[in-house]
Amino acid sequence: MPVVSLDQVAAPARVRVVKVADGRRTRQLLAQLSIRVGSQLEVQRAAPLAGPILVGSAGSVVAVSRGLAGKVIVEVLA
Amino acid sequence: MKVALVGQPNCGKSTIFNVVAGYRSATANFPGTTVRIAWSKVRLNGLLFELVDLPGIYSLTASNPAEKSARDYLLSSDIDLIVNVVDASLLSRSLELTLELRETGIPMVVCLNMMDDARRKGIEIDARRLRELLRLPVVETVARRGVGVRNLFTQVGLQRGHAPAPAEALAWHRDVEAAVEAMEKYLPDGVSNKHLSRRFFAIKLLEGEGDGLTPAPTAATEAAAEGIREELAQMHGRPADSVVMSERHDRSMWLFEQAAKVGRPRADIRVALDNLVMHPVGGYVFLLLLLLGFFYGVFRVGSALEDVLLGAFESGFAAWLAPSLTAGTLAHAVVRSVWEGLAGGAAIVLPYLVPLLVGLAFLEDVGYLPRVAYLMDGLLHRIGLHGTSTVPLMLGYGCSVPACMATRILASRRDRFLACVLACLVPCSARSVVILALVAFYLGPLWALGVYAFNIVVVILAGRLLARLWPEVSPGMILEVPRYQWPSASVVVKKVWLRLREFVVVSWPLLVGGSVVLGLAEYRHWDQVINAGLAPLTGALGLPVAVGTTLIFGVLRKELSLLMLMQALGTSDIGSVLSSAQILVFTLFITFYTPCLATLVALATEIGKKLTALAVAFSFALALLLGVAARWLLGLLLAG
Repeated sequence: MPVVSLDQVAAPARVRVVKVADGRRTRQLLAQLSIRVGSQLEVQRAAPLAGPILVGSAGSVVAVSRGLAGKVIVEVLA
Repeated sequence: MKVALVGQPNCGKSTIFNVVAGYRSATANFPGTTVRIAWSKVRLNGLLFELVDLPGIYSLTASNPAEKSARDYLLSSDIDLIVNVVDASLLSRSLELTLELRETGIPMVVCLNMMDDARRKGIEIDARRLRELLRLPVVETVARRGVGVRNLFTQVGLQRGHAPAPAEALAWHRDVEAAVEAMEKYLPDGVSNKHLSRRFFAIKLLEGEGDGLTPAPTAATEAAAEGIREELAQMHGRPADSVVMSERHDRSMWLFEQAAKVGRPRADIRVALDNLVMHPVGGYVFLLLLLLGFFYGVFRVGSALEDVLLGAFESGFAAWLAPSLTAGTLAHAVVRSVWEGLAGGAAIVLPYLVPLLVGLAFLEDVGYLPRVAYLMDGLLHRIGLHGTSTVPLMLGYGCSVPACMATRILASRRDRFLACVLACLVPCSARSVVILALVAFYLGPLWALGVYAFNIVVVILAGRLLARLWPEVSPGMILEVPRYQWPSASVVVKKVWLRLREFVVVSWPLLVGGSVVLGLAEYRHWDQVINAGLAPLTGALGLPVAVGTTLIFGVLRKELSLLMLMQALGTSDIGSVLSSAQILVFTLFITFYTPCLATLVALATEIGKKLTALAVAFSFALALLLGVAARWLLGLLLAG
């Protein structure tokens, strides 16, 4: 399975988070919206102009800016 | 008894609050609508409740000021009971907060709200099973329609004084439980205060979230916590807070599997709608057309009403009042001023203000704003902000005061300052009244559109400038995009009234008073002194000297400038006295210069007096610069 950062994933795709490569605050911020090691995400679309990535996680839809997405390391499932 | 509504953002806490307390806490369909604590006393089922509506929190780890105020309130006030409001359609995620709240030991009732949405998503929840596992009362509601709310408060009354019973099923893995127990042993005796459990203190210390706890942990306790944290981290190969979070996550997933079944979601047009609204090209076209349509619609409705109403007030004065008054007397001056103040509010402000607020309320409630945040994040990065700032910026089109308050959903102080300053530059409804009633009315809607477009350009440039002066790496946006919801007409009406009341109760009397003051000043010729003092300013802007006083009124309320302008110039047909260029320069200056009094107070609260002074100086300099530049440019353009 290819392992890349979330901002590199071409939508649509299913991914699993393998690592959140940043400090405690970022990790907590992402975990609050169910983006944490082990969670499965559905990458739905990416906004133009280096805008955010839209992911479905635990039943909700979350916009994650490109910068933050770069810190989420995922493996692409299918 | 004191009852706090606690839950994740956008789960309907304020909706429940409003159902029982009357419409007092503004609601909208985006996370972070409530940024300050609302409070009300209500009598329900024969019991007196002190109901507290807290800003939404994802967990008891605060990441922005709004969340921090909720957490601090929860941990430091004598709350008798927590109503944990849960968006049933997001049950698995929401249960993590439920478990964390349960740890506090405060009596608690779980409110499964938005049950209709859950069913639409194909989630069937067995509330009874959930109640057994959580060992807490669980009540199903659809607060938007008032369903189940009375039952909720019956349970609240019954649950008073009953701390959550221990639940075997919710225990964590043995080694983590051992760490919690070890931590509890190190807590001094008096540590569990009146309503927070020792276990809660121990867990918070394990998570390294000791600050904000009362009593504050001693140095010895902190040192012991450090040791236990390290041990736990070594065993699990990741930080202790992450381990604890995983335990909660694990238990909530298990609860969800036990109590809920996920079936097929019903076909939903709302998914297709997002394909358009968030399309890489179509999304922006849609946004542009929507904004154009919005302001054009407001203008059409407003100008049609203004025409009719202004005419009615004019003929009313001529028919009823003028015959019994002698022109040139004091009585005439006073009566005329009062009449003009009333006419200004009813015929000029309200026709534009009401449709503007209705439209904005609709957009907020339907859930469009977070989609705009998604579209604008990339662009906003270029001016040193991120998408979350869209919410305050868009709210700025309504009123700068809530816009400034909405910046509390931003995490960094610098982002809040930037968003506040920029949101104040966005024309609020009062300034839109000036733009529409002056520029659109006398020069045509296209010119007004130009003013809005120009405003956006200025906001972008100002953002770039400020971001360069105060550089900081922004932590980036993470924003939940809620489901669309069809706004309820009654909520829209109540919300519009909540905001309109501000104008009717505060500004309108001020308007009539201001009108009388100006009338008297003119009668006694004092206005000439003020105008002479402001002559350098009006001179630089190329405006008639008589306009001077109106600019001062504009600091009180922006729409006062427009109405006072009519009085100062002695006509409601501004086009006959001011040239097109002068109208534009006046409007631009009014749009950008010093925020109104109410906004200044809000700014001082949000970003402090020093930064507020800076913001005022910045906007005044900007307005003067733009006004003078516009005067020269337009002089060249319109003359040629």
